[in-house]
Amino acid sequence: MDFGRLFVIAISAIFVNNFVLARFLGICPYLGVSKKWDSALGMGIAVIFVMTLASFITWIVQHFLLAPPSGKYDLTDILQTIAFILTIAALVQFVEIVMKKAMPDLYKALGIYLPLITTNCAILGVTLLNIKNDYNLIESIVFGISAGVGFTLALLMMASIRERLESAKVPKVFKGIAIALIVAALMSLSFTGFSGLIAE
Amino acid sequence: MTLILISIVVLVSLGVLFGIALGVANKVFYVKEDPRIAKIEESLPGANCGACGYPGCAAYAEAVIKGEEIDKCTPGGKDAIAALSEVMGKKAGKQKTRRIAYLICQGDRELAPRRSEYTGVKSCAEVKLVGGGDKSCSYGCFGYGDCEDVCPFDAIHIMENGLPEVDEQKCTACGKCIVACPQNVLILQPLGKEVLIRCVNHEPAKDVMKECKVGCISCSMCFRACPIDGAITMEDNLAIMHYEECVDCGICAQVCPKNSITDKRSQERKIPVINEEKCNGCTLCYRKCPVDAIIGGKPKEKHVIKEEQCIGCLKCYDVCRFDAIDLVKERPKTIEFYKDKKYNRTNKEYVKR
Repeated sequence: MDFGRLFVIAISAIFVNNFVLARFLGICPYLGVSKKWDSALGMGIAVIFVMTLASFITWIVQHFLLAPPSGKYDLTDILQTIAFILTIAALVQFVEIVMKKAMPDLYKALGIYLPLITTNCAILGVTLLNIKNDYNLIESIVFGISAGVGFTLALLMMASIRERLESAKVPKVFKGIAIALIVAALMSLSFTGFSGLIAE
Repeated sequence: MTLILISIVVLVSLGVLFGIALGVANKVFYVKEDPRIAKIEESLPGANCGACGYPGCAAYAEAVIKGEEIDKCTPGGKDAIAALSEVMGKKAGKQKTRRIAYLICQGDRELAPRRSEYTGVKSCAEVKLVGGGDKSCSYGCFGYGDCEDVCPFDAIHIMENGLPEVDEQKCTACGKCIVACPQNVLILQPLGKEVLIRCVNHEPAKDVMKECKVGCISCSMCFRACPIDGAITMEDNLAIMHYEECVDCGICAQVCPKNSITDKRSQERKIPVINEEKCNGCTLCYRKCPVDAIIGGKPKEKHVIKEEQCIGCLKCYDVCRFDAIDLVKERPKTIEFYKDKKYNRTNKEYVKR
């Protein structure tokens, strides 16, 4: 196994091609759940969890159902998106049911965020990129984890800034979502500083 | 053609597979949930205001199942209590009267002028940071409306005189304004609380005189006149009202030389006399009297009010259903009965505190 390659994948997903700030996926929770640090953390952990699991399952679905190793047919172009959405939705639902029984504490901690992110584009984005980049199973999982970590990082940074903005002197016209969008833009801009860190 | 067929087969098999897995999981990992939780949540207002002390209506619903009191939801009011008692099959404790927020400061722009000009952010919390505020009295209400901003029911508004006014109809006693107020000049009291000490200034009399025309100068007149032991105490240059003891007789408001104490019914306060013709001895007034100034108690026996003992709180007058109580006599400024007998408080005692 090539640890160097895994490291590069992780750094790339967390910083250089951060899902929120560079790929602009998962903007909805990024603005919606970033008002408070606590809920941002809950959301972030839920995203890491689901992204990792989704990467694992969809890789199997892709390589054994959509494009089986026998090479008899290849349905990637036709079915990939819908099959992945179906897979992720069912997976999250399944995990939720199991967790409610087996780990009620974790279930409570993740709370509403788990079902919330089922249909998030960032999750689907991870799974599609896994296939597009020809990652193997291990690489897919690492990519899933680090994409989640990157998302959480962006979310937590945003939440910290917005908590401070609450008591800052913001001109009336910029109050609320307007200043949040400006902050998001500035953060995205600053994250472009990471581009070129890894030679593609 | 085969490609389409394969696609259909693959997708259908995927769907069936997941369907079966979820169905099985739902059965195998089924967690029994109390159906009452959903019922309770339905009957709560869903404002998630947190007045009950729980983070949102759902959390309160769960707590109720675990044995929490069912009368904690203030916005829901009587309807919510009724619905909850039906679900839970238990009665609420003694029904509390509805509470609302009261402002305990009277220093408007004229009575307690500004000592400096403040041009910063219009927020009480902010102005407090700048040298204790722009008001002459650093204890009183700033009037920049943090309470108004935070009220989810549009029930509190800053008036032209620079003080907030609470809308009795809209206020639900959620307590958000009480938390938001940096000066702690808002309190929750039952709707219909008549007498309030409306000053929170702890400074010595000399300074208070300079700062506010209606500030408490800690002369202790109210403390000495109060007929109820422990309803008013003097603490740290300020008269403090103990609301659980106070019976709203308004004598303190009558004697206060600075008008720091307000009484909504100050015009009405008179010694009541029972009209013997109309009284039928129902004992309602007898039971309501906070100072045992009414003779009677046996059914059908006509009541008599002991004049020297009556404090004029008008509780009997409010409760009488037969219009048998007349307000006739002027009430004396201090009730001698209490001075001479068990509640003999002197200024010395106050100094000792």
